Amino acid sequence: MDRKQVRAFEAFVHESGDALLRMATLLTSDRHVAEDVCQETLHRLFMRWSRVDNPRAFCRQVMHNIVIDRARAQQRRPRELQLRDNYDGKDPRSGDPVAAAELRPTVLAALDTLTVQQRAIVVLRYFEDRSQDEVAELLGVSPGTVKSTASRAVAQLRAQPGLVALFAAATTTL
Amino acid sequence: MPKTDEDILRELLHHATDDLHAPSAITAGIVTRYHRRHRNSRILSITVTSVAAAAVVATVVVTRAGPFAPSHAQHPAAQHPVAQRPAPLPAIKLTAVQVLNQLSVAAANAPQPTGRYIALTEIRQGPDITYPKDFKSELNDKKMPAFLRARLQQLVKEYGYPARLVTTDRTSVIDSLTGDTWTYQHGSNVPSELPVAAHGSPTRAEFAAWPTNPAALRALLLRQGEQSVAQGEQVQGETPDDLVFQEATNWLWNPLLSPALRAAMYKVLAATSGVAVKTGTTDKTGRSAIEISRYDSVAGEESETFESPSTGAVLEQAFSDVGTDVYAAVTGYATLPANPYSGG
Repeated sequence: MDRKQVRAFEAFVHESGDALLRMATLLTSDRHVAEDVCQETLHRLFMRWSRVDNPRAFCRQVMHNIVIDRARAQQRRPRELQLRDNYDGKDPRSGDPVAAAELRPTVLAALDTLTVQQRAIVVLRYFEDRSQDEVAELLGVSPGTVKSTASRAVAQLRAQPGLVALFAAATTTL
Repeated sequence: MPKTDEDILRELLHHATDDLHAPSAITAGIVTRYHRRHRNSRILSITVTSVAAAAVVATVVVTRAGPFAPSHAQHPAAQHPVAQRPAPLPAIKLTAVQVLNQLSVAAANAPQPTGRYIALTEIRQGPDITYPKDFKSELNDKKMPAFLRARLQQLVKEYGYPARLVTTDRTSVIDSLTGDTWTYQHGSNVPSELPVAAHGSPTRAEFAAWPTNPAALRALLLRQGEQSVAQGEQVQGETPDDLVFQEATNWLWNPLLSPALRAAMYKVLAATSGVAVKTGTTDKTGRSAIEISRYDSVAGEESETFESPSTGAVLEQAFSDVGTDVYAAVTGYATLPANPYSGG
C-alpha cells in the first residue's frame, strides 16, 4: 500500500462513506451498529484495495456478508438492547435533519418486520438501485426470487401502520 | 405519471437517512488498523513456524508428561524456529488434534456451576477500530511509514483523539430452566440494565438433549449452519467445515453446556479441517490460554477464541465487528442475583 493508494482510498471513502453508512443503517436499524459495520466493510476494502476493480460493488457484497454474519452471532448471545436513534442527528452537513429524524424510526421499524433476506433485497433494489440480476448474483439467488421477494416486501412495507399514510400521501401529491 | 410503490419506497429510504454522515475520522482508524494488522501478520508468520516446530516437540512431551505439560513456548525449539526444519503437515494436524483432545478431557472433568441461575461475568471491549484506544502509541511506533504517520498526525490535529466507549463490564445471568437472560452492565454511555431476553439461550435441559457423540454433534451443528444459510442469515458458499466451526465457537462460551457436551464440541473441532491451535499463549488479561483459530475464506477473516487449558472454558472470544469478550467468571446462584453494578 503506497501513498497514492491511500489517497485513492480516502477519496473513495469521502465520496461513498455517507451512502455506505446510510445503507448499513437501513440494514441494521441501529446507528452505532451501522457505524461499526461500515467501518468493518471499509477495512476489508482497504485490505484488498489494489485488487478491487469496483470498490462500491465490493462494499455492497462485503457489507451484506457482515450484516448477516453479525445477525447470526447475535442470535447465539445474550441479546443487546437496541439503542435506536438516540443519536441527536445534529450534523452541520445534514440535508433535511428534521424530516429524516422524524421519518427514520418509522421506516426502520417497518424494515424490522422483514426477514434478513427481504431486507437486503429491498435495500439493494430501492436504496442502492441495483438491477434484479445484480441483486440475484450478490445474494446467490435467482432473479425470479429477487423479483417475487421484492414485490412481497414492498406490499408488506406499504401495509405497515406507520407507512400506510405516507404511501397514501405520496400517491396523491404528485 | 403517478408514482409507483417502488418509487415511494425509494424516496422514503433516502429521506429517512439523508442526514447521516460517515464519521470524519473513519479513514484514520482503518489506516491505523491496517498498519497494526500488517505488523501482527508478520509476527504471526513467525509464530506459525515456531508452532510447527514446537508441534513435533509437543507430541513427545504429551506422551511423557501427560496432557498438561507446562507451556511449550519456552522450549528452545520455539525460540529458534529457523534452526528447525519445518514439520511436515500431517504432524501439525496431528498435534492440533491432540491439543483439542486435551481440551476435551479438561472440559469433561471441569466442575460445573450449580444452581438455577448462572452468572457470566465479562469484560467487553468494543471495537477499538474507529477510535483506537492506543492512537498515541500507534503514532509513536517507529516502524510506521513516515507518510502514514504524517497523515495520521494531520487527522488527529483535525479531529482530536476521538473519545468513545471501548470497555464495558457486563454480567449476564441465564436462567437455566427457561433460557431467560438478564444482562447488567457498567460503563459510560451504556444502560446499566438491559431488558430480559426471553429464551436468550437454550435451557440446560435442551443442551442436555444434544448428542455428545462427536459425529452426531457435528451433524447437528452442520444442520444448524445449513438452516441459517437456507434462511438467508448466513453467507453463501461456506463449506461444511466453515459452518461447523462457526456453530461450535458460537456455542462454546455458553456456561450451560454440560461438561460432556463441551468435551464433545472440542472433539468436533479436532475433526474440522483448518482449525489451528497455539499453546502456551495468554488472553488479554494474562491468563494462560490455548488459542483456537480458523481462517474463513468466504468471510475473509480469521476468527479466534482463547480457552483455559485446565478447564476447557472459553476465556476470550473476538467477534469480528462486535468486539472482544473476555469472560472473567462463571458463578451459580439458587436465586436471581441482583444487578451487581447498582448502588455503586
